[in-house]
Amino acid sequence: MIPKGTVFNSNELFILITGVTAYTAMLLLPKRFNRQQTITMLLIGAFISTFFDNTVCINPFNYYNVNDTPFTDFWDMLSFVMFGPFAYFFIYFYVVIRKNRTTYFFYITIWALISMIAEALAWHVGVYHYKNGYQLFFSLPIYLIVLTATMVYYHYFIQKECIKIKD
Amino acid sequence: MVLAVTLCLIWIIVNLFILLPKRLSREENLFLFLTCSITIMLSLLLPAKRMYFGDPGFNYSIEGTLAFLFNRNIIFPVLTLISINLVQDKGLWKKLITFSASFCVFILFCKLEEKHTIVSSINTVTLFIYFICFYTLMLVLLKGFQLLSQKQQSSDQ
Repeated sequence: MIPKGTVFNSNELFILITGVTAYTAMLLLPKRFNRQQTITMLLIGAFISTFFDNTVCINPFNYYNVNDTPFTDFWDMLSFVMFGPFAYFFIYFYVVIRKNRTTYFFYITIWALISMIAEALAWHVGVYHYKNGYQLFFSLPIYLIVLTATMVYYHYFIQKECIKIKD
Repeated sequence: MVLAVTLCLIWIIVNLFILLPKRLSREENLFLFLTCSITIMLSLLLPAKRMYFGDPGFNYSIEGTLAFLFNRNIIFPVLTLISINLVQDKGLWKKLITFSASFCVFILFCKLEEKHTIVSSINTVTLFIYFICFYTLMLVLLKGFQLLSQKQQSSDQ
């Protein structure tokens, strides 16, 4: 599936290292969710990545290319899978920390900034190639929306489940 | 025009999903929505290549692209959810009727709004094979997801 002219270089290495590290960390962390919840969180991460790469990357928007070709190849698919554990970590650490009424606001802001730094790193190694005037800063609202949606999942599927078990 | 029709269809289908009795839990519905969305997006990579990467002979507008995106990410997945919820009903006849009706809706939708659903022209036999494979995959994945929960419950006990 690797097209001609595509060589194994920094972007493929970045996807491999990040993916393996993220999945290993996920498996090593103490379990806090049941299997169904874990699978759903991994799917949320993969869905968000697949959705945006198949929406913002296509005509008439065409704002960036993922990896070496404009077409979806094996490494693009691997990058969709790589994003899975980040939705898990986002919810995992939110469950762990002590919360008050404003925690979610700061928590989402910090995660959006971390995501921007990670995207800058990915752009630097060649995972993303911006086009048509797209800039890194434009991803910030996307991250804010996506992280808020994941927080909604936490409130409706994880927190309510915990309250039910306690009752 | 096409965007207005698509938005009306979204309203009808989402409300149909809300109104119809659900045989699956919220977690199962979310799982099914995510898996079928990912599967549909990946399946459309080849037929929608002309729209995705620009084809000089293919005219598209923002309105048309938005209609395509709504079809891809809302209408098809929600129709799948409705169908799989209904197919959980007991009785072979009910299951057969649901499956046949879903197949007819799928083929009609793909053929009537071809440019904004599957983009390229695909013959009915290929669509039929795709539908069978897609439907079976969703049912198998759902069964696997349900088994995970049952295993967890038995190990907890």
